Amino acid sequence: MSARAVWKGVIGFGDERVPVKLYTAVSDRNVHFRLLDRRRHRPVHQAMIEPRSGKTVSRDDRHKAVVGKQDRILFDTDELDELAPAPSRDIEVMHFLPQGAIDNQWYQRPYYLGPDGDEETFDAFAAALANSGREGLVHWVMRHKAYVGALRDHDGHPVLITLRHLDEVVDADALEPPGGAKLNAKEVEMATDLVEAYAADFEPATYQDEYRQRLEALVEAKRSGKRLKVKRRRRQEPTDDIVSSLEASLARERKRA
Amino acid sequence: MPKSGAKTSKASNSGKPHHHGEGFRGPRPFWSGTIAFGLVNLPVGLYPAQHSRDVTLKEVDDKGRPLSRRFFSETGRKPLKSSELARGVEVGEERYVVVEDQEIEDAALEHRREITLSRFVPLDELDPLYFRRAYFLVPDSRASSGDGALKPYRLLAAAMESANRAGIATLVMRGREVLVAIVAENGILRAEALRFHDELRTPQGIGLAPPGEPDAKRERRIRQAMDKLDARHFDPDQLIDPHIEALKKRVRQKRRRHQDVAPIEATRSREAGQGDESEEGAEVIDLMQVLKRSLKRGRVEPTPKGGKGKGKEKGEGASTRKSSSSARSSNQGAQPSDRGSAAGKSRKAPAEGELARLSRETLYRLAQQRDIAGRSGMTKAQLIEALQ
Repeated sequence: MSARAVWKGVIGFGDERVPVKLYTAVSDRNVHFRLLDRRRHRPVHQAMIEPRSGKTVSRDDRHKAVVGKQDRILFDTDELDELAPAPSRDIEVMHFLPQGAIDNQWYQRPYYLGPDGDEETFDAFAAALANSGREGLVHWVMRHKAYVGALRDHDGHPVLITLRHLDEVVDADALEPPGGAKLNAKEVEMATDLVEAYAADFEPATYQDEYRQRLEALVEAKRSGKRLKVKRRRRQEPTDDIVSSLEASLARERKRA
Repeated sequence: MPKSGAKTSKASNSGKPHHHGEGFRGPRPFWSGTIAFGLVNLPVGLYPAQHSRDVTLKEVDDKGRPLSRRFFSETGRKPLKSSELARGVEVGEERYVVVEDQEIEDAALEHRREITLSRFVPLDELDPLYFRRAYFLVPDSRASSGDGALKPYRLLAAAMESANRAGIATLVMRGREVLVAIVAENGILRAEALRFHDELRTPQGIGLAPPGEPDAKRERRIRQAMDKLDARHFDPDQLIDPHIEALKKRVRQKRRRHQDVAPIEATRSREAGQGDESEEGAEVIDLMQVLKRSLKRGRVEPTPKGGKGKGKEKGEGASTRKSSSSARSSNQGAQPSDRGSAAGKSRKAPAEGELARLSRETLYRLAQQRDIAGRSGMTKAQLIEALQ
């Protein structure tokens, strides 16, 4: 099964031009419900109303506003269109950075890249990106929105991960970690040993979204007209104390090893 | 919100800061519970590391009055009441079956107030494709006796940093299981919510063949072009959204010219929820300040009305369900008020002492607005100086 590309663009840096297609790497697996008219079991229509008068406001009479503390600043469609970034196919590289330079919390949504025509250039670019150990910081405009992204290698396939904009992320550098008396080196060592005792590989496939599975089962049961009973899970109670707990945990882990 | 209400909360905010009790306003933890690491227990609260945009557009009528979305039956003229609405699924062509809230609630996992850390993976094994969103973990001494949360928090962070590993665990948030990677960075713990494995496609699944054998010459030329754009450090300034900046500039311009400005009336109906939100914006304590204070004091701010456990969990569940309804559009209704009106807040010129109390992030934004050169490399103190 091959998926359709969501967008086409051209990666540009220096004199190089790499035409690419974007394929979404995330599949939406959430269960989506429709809002229904309870009595008729039919989907509802929606409209915008002015709550005080209760009157429906048609699309043509609607405006957008930026809400401030004491005022709302109105915009009409033409004005917003004018402010929107100009359409373009260019994915412009600003920099190539060492991998890891972009902190995790900026990453938002990944797309796989495939060639758009010129396969020779694409293959050379994919290899160059993979062998460089770097990621490109890029910006582009897609469907009237400005995007920033990271161009990375993913097992030989180039990927483009959209990044959050500056105004969407808390500046972690400005936060100070909890302070206090210097930590006891022995205790840090013990805690590190415990971390190492629990060393494992990242195996994402071992985790399941149980809630989603339950919802899917519920929807399936509805479809076939059955009733479904779901059981609730039990909860556990936590305990207390630190050094002795670390020691006990370590002892337990050593025994297991 | 009635005027008197706004007054009382303002009164409680002036003077000495109230960290607990009813005077506290500001972002609350998304989740609170305990990290179990071996036999050590560490109470924590989770705060979002990301938030809504600086500026958002709301739907209004030609007089600037906020609009609300209403739902109508196929033939009806009157909007349906919430009791006349139901959620459902399509079971056949044009055939729908109602799914009751209770049924969805039953599918939700029981709230578990524990994160068990028993898998630590090498940091570089974490694939960024998995990252969905991030939360800061704040130690919560309030939940245990004394200030017992600070030390295990610092110990865990130090140990994870020296081992260069991230903890992989699951937690239950709003009735659903969330896979997280707990990462320690500069002494601060962060939970990165990860996508589940089956939420990511593979290139093969999409039908993308692996890139072919490259032409060596061509690859070399591309490498050379790449090297010319080489940079060592990442500059977050490059993540400024030019579109939002243009919009903000136009807002300022319109305000100055008194053009297309609709004042917000003193009294509002409940439905005009946006008004309430922007008024709260003045009171809401910056997420950043809450984070800083909580990290320092090692405690999470109390939730209102002792909203621990069951009650809160129910509320959270309800909000997820609402937003998962496909009929609800995301540009409608009140945005989460965790940011308040950041744009409005930073516009007032704060006094010296006030500047010192602001986060570097907020100061940075102020510097942005005033176009202060070299701001991205400035420390907090330097920013304060430049802004005075």
